[in-house]
Amino acid sequence: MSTNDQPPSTTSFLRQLLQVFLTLSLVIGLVAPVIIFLTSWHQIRIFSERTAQEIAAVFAGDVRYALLVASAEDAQAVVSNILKFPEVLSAEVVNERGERLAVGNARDLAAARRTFAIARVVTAESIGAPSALDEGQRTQVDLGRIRITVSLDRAYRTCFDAALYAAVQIVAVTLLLSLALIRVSRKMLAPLATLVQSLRSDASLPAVAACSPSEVHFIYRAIDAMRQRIADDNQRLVRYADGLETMVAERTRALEEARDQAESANRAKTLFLANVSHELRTPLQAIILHARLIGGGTGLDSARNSLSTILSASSHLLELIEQLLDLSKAESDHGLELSYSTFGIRDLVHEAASTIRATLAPGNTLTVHCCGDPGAIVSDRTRLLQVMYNLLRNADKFTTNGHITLTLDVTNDPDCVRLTITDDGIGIPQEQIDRIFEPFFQGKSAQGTVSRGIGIGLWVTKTIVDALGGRIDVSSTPGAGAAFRVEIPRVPNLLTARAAPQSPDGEQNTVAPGRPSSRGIRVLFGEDEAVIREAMSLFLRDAGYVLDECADGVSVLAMLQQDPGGYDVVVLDHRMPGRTGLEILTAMRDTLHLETPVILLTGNDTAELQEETARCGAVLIAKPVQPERLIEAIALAAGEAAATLTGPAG
Amino acid sequence: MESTRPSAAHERGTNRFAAGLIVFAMLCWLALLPSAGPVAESSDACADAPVVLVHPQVRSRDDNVIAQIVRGLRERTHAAVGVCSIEDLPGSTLDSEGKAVVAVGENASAAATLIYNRAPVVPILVRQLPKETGSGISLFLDPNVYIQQLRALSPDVNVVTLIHRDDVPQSFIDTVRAAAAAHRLRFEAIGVATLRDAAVVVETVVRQAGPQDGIWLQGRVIGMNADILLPKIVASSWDRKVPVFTDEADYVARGLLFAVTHDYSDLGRSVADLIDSARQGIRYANGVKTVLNGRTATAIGIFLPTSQEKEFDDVYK
Repeated sequence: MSTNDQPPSTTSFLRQLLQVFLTLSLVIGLVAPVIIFLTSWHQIRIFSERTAQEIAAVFAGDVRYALLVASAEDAQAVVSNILKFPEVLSAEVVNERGERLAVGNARDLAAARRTFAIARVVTAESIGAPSALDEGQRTQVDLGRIRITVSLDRAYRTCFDAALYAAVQIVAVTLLLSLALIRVSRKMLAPLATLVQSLRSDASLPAVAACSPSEVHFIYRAIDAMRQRIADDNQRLVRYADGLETMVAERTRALEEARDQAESANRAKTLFLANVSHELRTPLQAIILHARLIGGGTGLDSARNSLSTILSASSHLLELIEQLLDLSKAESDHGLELSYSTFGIRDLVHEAASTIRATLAPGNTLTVHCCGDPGAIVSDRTRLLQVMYNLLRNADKFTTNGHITLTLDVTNDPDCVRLTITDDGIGIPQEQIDRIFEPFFQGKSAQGTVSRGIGIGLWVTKTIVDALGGRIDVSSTPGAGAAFRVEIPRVPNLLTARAAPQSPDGEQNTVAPGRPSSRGIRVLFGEDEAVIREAMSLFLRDAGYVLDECADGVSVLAMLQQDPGGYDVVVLDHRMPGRTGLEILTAMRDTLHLETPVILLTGNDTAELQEETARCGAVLIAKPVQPERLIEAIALAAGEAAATLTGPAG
Repeated sequence: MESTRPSAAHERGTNRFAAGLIVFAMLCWLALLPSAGPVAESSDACADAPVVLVHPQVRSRDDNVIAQIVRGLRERTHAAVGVCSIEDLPGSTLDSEGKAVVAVGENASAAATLIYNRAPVVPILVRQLPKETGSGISLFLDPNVYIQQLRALSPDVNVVTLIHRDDVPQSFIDTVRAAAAAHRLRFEAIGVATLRDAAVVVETVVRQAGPQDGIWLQGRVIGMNADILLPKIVASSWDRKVPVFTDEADYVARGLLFAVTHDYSDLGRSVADLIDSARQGIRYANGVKTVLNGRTATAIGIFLPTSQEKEFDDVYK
């Protein structure tokens, strides 16, 4: 035990208890007997004096005759009788003249130490009556006195003995009480001392004696339970500590990974900027040089070659700029803007192949295989074309004197078509396969050099495929080429498509705060005029609507059939290719049984159209329409639909 | 005959009616009876009555004595008796023409003579006749009665000692002496004036006496302080077998041998006779009562036959 553990008092409780009781017994044993002695001594003096007075009064009656006749013998007899009382030391009878008639002393007169004396006048009544019947005159005759001396020694001894006995009894009782209390206290404290000793070690608590007070049993049980709780808590803390360490390790590892990723991303961005700079400067250099050659008055053939080069460099610049625009759009809140239309996928494949074939690297060839005709699909034609361009250019980039194949076929899922672009180029190292769709990632060429470009082509491709509700994967054998497979739904799966767009940082597009209440309302917008559709789409997206665009009526109907409840409001141009707005509206109400609010835009506001529109419960707005009005009409229609669904109480 | 004979039922009714009349008459007679208690009539009654009894302030135990005297007076005079204590008497003289006034004791006699100055006052229970009074009855009884009674109880007595207050007339002492002499007894009279004198005399006489000595201890001597004197007298009497007698019945009850006292009813009748009598001078009362203490008699060796005990009016066992 350290010095700080030393108790302030080194005297045990039992010792202190004993000291208190000894002091108490000493004080009470001294004070109480004194009080008893003084009280009893006072009382016994009064009592003795009264008794002596009564004795004197009694014997005063007896001694009257002796005084009357001056009989010393009779007086002596009275004195002798008085002396028979044990406390009377002496008695004396004197006549009215003060002459002693009789006197007597007890044997222990000389030994008496505490005495008191009383004297009583002895009188007699004399009645002088003239006749036997007269009341007569009464006179008092003084006959003498009787004096008695009484000893108080025995009374004193009695008082002293009483005080002494009281002292002894009080001390004895106090000591007995103290012993009893000490015994009881020991019964209480001994188990507690044992308990304290046990608590200093981890040993289990000893058994409590059955004769111990119930409070000791309670304390033991409570402390046992408390120790058990502490042990449980300790175990829990150990587990927590272990878990915490594991968690810290995992977090550390995650942070390290994040740090690595951040560093990698930083490096990628640095590389991206360097690439962008290089990719911008290189064609510009070519354009500048060839422009000066033309300006320098070169020959016609040379000028043609220079213009061709300028055109090629400009095309490359345009491609680069478009990729940067796609990157910025993908990173924006709106995500990629899609415009759905119905088109034949086979034609699109051939269009892409013919376009790319003219720009292939020397020595590379492109072959198109179409396994049957999948027919028309509903998708964004431009974006899908961009996907094929990117994949074909990528294959061309990493293939030297090789062969590139574009294959169109259907999958096991009849609702999808599959595009496969294979090459026999350098392939993709296995460790890079999982990263090639990351933004700014650039694979290495066969010679170990970093490839050309800015490293976002495959990332943009995957982003578009995801936005269209499809999926893309890649397989490769290094040195033997690679195969990219793209599966596109015939009709976009909107749930998949909307969840797909992600920013280059991996963050899902979310709605920014502070937008109007139209935020999150899903709108299907069908307009065949691209200039109108694209401009109005920008306004609607700025207003917070989640917008899907369609360029023809067939696409609109296909989108609604694919996901009947996927839109809160449908905005339709009346005059669209494939299906008119009114036909789509009629099909929604009569065939699809959709009560989705519909806003019909038309430039031909006829009464018949108005009547049909009203019958189908749609809103007819004549063109031209201001964006604010359309935004308000969509919000009003969506609010009324929500009120109808929730009912009056809602 | 049958028709004139009353039926049994009729006889029972007649007897019940007669018994009722008798009970009614007795109740009326009882209601008319004078009170037998202490006489405490008003001063008007005292003044208006033809016969007036004036008495001193008496001890409470002697209230019955006055009542007995009054009863004797009424029996003999057949007249209303006004009873007055000295305190009840008015401050001035009364018209006492034709009245008869009886006074108990010297003080009452003097007061009655003063108030009833035109009526003859007959004093009773006085030691000697006051002046201006013609006749009266003595406080003392005839000494011969005492001597005879002593002789009857203690024939061996040859000395009689009279212890009396010193105000007793010599004539009475002489009478006693004569009575003792008539019974061939030596006589000695000792007068006492104070309680101490009485105690010393008693101590001297009783302690020296023996069975042949008869001691006549006047009640007025013991009455000085009976609580002091009487126990010693009785103790000495018993120790020395001395017959001690007196004229107070109470002292016999407390241990003296016998007493001869007035018969106060007879005293009333005697004084009634004396009112109309032409006799002069003081005389002894005729009626007496005798009281005996049987235990004292036995203690001092006197054993009386039953017939002799019955001669006493009261015997304390």
